[in-house]
Amino acid sequence: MFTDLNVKDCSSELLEKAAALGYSALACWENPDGGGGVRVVGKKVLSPRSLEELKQALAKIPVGKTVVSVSPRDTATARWSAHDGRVDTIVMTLENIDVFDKKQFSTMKYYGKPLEIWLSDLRRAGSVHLARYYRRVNLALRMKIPVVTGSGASDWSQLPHPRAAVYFLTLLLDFPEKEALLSLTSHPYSVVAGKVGSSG
Amino acid sequence: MADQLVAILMVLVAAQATVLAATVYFLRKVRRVLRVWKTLVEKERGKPSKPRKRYVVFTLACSGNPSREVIEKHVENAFTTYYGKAVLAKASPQLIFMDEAVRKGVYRVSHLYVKHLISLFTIPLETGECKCLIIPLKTTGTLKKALKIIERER
Repeated sequence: MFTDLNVKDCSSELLEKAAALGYSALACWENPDGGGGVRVVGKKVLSPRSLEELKQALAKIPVGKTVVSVSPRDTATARWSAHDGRVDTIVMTLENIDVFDKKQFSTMKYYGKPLEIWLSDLRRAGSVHLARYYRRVNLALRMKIPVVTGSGASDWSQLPHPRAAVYFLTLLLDFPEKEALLSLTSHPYSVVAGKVGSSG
Repeated sequence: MADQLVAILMVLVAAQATVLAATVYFLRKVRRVLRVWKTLVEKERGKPSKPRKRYVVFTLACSGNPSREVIEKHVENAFTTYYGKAVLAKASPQLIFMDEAVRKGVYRVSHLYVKHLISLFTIPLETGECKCLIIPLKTTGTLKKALKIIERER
């Protein structure tokens, strides 16, 4: 039951490849129409500059249809999104890594909010960024926050094989193998399960 | 009388064959247990384990038709970028078989670095107009078995 929570464009070709690779659910930015035996839901990633902007953006999104992820740029937005029930995941990218401190993770743990990381970020990170990413992710894992991995694929060729992705996380970020597997299976699927999507 | 003798002989031969088969089976099991035990003891003493070869069978999902050299270069570059030259040297990944017609191949790598190799299959191969996804199929201990898998999927 592999799930990718961050696919940019769900073209029919991508869905076909996803089914062949063993994915059962995808969350897509564009074309969330489904097909090829893969359950597809919509995805919105919000990167608000302020708390007001986040509140306005959240008010416009219909409840229960799309996976809502917030990539916060400041601490206030990060804290708010951690306890807002409309937000499904909080995205840690290379740009907003400073926002994620111990207090943020404590809030996320309290409200059961998963941390979302993208493989595309890991691939383009330099050694300095990767080191910071490594420390943050491991802090989240130690605090028992569910980590969700998305590929960030905009094309079928960027969709990773699940086993390769598990090994990539294990070796690059020292994920325990079980956690790496959970970040691709049960954690993201529990987010997708509550949404109304199209199944192919 | 003669019939009885033949029957007894047949029973004896069958019994002996069974005993022989059981002995071979048992010895194989014992040998395997001893090998595992030896490895554990060596690990305990800090002795480096003997590097064994593993054969990773993969298939390509491509929009173009990449050559063998392109794939070799891609894997080598990815290895150096993510794990460094030292790991590349120790792992020594080699593309030992590539069937460009069916887009399947076999990579040979040290058993300690199989996961490193497979993890690099997440890096998409993009050269010009050709886009490729490398999909690992199976890891085997012998080239014969690896080739059999390719043959089966042909």
